[in-house]
Amino acid sequence: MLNTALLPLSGRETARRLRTLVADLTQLGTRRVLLLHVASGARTAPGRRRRLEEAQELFTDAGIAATTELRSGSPPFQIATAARESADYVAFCWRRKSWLQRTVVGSTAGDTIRLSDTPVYVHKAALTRSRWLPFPAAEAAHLHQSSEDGSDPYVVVYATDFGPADADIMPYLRRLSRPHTQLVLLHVARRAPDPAAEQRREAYAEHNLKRLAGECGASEVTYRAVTGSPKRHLAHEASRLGAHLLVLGKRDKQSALETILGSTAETLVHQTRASLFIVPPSRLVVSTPADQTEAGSR
Amino acid sequence: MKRTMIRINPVFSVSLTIVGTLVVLGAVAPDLLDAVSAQVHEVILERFGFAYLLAGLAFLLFCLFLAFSRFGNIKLGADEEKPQYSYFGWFSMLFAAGMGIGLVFWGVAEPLSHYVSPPEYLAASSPESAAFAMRYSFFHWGVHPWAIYIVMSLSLAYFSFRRGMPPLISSCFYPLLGRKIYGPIGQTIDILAVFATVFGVATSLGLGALQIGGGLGELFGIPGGIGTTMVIIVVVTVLYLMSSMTGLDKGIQILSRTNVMVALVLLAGMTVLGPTFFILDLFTDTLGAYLANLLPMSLTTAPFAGYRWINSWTVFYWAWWISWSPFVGLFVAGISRGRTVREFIVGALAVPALLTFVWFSVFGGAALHAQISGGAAVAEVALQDSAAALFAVLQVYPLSGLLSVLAVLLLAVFFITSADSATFVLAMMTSRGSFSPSAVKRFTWGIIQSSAAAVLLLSGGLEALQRMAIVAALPFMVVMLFMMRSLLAAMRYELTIEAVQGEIAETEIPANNSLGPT
Repeated sequence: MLNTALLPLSGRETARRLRTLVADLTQLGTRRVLLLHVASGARTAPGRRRRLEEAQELFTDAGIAATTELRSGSPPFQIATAARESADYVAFCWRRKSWLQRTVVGSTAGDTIRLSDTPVYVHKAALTRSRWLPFPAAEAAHLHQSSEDGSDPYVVVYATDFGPADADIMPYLRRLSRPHTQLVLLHVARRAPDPAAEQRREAYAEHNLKRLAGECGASEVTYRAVTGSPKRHLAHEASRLGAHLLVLGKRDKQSALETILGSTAETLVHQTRASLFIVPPSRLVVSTPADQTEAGSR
Repeated sequence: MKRTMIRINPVFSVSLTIVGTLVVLGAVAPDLLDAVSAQVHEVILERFGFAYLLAGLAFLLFCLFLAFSRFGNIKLGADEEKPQYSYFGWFSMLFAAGMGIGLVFWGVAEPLSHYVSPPEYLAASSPESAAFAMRYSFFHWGVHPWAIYIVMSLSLAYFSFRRGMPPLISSCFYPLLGRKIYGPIGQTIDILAVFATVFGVATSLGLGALQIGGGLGELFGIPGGIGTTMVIIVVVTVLYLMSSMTGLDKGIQILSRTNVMVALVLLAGMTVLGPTFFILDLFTDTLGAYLANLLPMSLTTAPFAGYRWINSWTVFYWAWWISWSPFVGLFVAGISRGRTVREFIVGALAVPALLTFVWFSVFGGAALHAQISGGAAVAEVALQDSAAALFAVLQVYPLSGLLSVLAVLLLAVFFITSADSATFVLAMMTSRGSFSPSAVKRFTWGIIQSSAAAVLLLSGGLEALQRMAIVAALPFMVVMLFMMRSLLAAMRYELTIEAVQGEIAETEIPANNSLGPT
């Protein structure tokens, strides 16, 4: 399920970032990594080849089988194609870009999320490494209980719209869990048109969150329903909850406005400080017994 | 000791205070009100003309989108509800509330005014300016005003009859504001609506009284003047207060049907007695020109030549329709229960606009024909006194006495209908949206409207009050843009989320949760 990762490398990743990613992928149970560099032109700079080899060494030393590949063309398109051919998911080593950079240069991660029909994991090193709670620390702290050894829990927030993606994502949630994981089911939805319908909507959300919590089967599951625009509130809520990982599904149907401005998942990748795991629609999950055993033992 | 708490509706008390203050100011210091309102009015029309034009087109496109999308099937009421009024009753009331007295006032005066005083790039009193005059008269009174009214009335009807909320403008913002609509933000929106309605209607009533006075002078030689106008206002006030006490189902409906009947008789009379074939040619030609130029006219700000003309006519009209929209919107919403969104939009957009085009072709055409071919100096009359223009044109044609009597009758009935429906709407807005507001409130607003019109006619502050209504239209335009957003969000919710919730609720959710759409 998460056995083989495709890791696109631009060549600008620092060794320290790569090391935290290696640790992260090990936690996810990844056993093989395909390191891919996509050159915009026909020639690949020699420096990039060397960086790929260095990265390969790093993964091999950590016990993850690593192969390298060089391609040329549009990076998001090549990444999505390569992932479809030979990987279970795409893992990005996130490098923050300003709004201006994104507007002028574009965002490979954002475009890959749009194009890819394999899950995309965006690893944000700072939060995973330090485990700090970025937004009101006191508020986030009271939501999560510390483990017996006093360490903060690993907070996974799953943003659900109660759609068909739930069934696809549930096995991933089990695989993404770590020792002492706090799972928060988050539902952000727009307000209903009138107070009575709003009451019904809240009851509906509560009912479904309870049901999903039951289906998760994890020991530490909480849930939260928020009213508002998902695009506007998801990042804020994830920060408020002290999320280390935000999991969400990607819808295949988009409104005209979303087609122009980008989907919630594409927007969120630039807004949240938590790592992201995005599952595309109708992703067939082949969950092996080995997967389940591994997830249970974590 | 038991203490009695009297809860005063803040929308009623605050709007009453604001209206009272401005009316007193207009009566005591008309020059001050005139100076302030003129300055603000000038700035708004000069600086925000483009915004009004863009918003006007946005409202029209939004209506067309709703009508011809899947949202068009939504019913303004429960799924099984049938429309309360017949098509004739509904169109009559739509027309009477939306255009009313203004159409009689401007039906002759506007084409003549554009003909002799077009933008500077057109020669005055030329064939080009005549065609321009008719095209722009169609444009100003065509589908755009109705699109503005539809946005307001459709939102109110949807949130009231489909979603069970009180028929208040603030109710339309529940999807965006939630419970904040019950607080100061919602109350401010409702107060703004009351403010625009009172001033808009009071101005219209003042102008209507002047025109009735002019007609009576022409017919019976009754000397015009402030005394006559005051008597007209008092008589009409008594009549519409009597009508307003009978409620929406009786008084206003009977008046509106009478109105349309009289209007149709007058139209037919003028078509037959006037230059029939010229009128038919003019209607056909102008309709073609209007349709061909609808988009360019919708976005013409004329920055190089004709800028002032556009500001003083098109932008003024757009602001005027917006300031009237709370009143017309609430009234039209009230009579449209049980119709589908598509039926409502197509009906309210096409039928009144078509009747308006016919009206302008008949009366504007007769006026232009008299001016161009007949050598009558009706354009000069229209420029000097718009109220007398209609009667000056009627004098040119046969049976002028009979047509003038019909015109005065039409004016009086329009006057009573507008005042009656405005009284009802104001009482409703200040009674937390009750469809049966108390007689005291109806009486209070009826008296206030007429007093405002009378006092400001006396002091000369009526135009200042009209400008205040235009000033109120600017924030209201923003309110209406958000209203479109809110309505779309609500309808989308109904067709997507609620449809899914309903299916799931039937199978999965316990009965005590009572989920699913209404």
